[in-house]
Amino acid sequence: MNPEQKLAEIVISLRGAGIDSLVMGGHAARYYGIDRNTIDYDLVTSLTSPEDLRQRLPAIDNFREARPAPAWRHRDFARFEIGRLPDGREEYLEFWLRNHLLGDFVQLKQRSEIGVYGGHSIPFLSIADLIRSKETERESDWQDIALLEEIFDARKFAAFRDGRCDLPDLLANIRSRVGMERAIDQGLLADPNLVASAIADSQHPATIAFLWPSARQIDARTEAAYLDPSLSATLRAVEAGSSKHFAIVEIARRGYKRHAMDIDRADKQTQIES
Amino acid sequence: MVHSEIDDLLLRGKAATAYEAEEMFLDSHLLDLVQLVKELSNDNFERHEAIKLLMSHGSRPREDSRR
Repeated sequence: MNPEQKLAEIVISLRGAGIDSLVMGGHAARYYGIDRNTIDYDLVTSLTSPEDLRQRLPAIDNFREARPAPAWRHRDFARFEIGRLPDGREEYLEFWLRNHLLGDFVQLKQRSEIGVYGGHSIPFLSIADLIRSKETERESDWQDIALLEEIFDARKFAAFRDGRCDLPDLLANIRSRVGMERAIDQGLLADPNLVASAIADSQHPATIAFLWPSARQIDARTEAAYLDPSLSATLRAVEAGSSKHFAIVEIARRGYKRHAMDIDRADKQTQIES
Repeated sequence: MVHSEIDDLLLRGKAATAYEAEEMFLDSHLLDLVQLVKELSNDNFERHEAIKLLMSHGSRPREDSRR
């Protein structure tokens, strides 16, 4: 059995025992198109207590041999060793019961995506939630984010082309430079009022910095989205799509990343001290 | 100037890898990078080592994503 089939079997077994879960982590990244190796099975689950998991898991046929493993986020996270790889490394099944980067399970499930993986239809975190879940202090997660943002944008462009999303929605969500260049090439920033409406719905400073020179009449959103005031002033003076414009987009992206890393680091510190 | 500062981060053990040192350099110079946007001509801006580094650590352009 390959890892994809094993993951599908895990999710189906849990579902059969009444434990609702969504795939996240490396396997979700693989599902969305990132070619990467992973040896862990990461899930977010509807259960709220690690103790509940520790009691229910051994009662499921596939997990009779599962052994609880130490986890320092002991209230929010639980992990179990479920076997060994041929090279001797442990295989872990990991559950997030609460993740400080994500909403509650009901919301995550509403936004989730069902996809075929390992020969079965199983539920994954939405790509937007997966990106959010990777806003951690780990540099490797941000490298995944960069690729996931390109995939996210490609999906949005496909939805726009097929009439499943409108232009303000597309523009409000563009995150990658690939997507930004595509929007410029297709002349999608021509209407300043429409771009302004996209800015009002946007959450990410890199997106706002990208849209800003094409909708100069808006002002207050930047600071609300952690865009440094020095950036908004500079953005007024650059030509949309120029090297200077894309440099500011990257400065805004970098500021956001550092801010997110600091939040994740502080959360971990709080968990360790509690 | 850019590379000597990055080398210094490595030599003093502040960074474990060249990538980490470059990240540290960029993070500690965000406001300086904004100043470069304001002050340099387009040609000098595109040739500046710090800007090249910023863009190489950022979201990749379409051209690169096709490789």
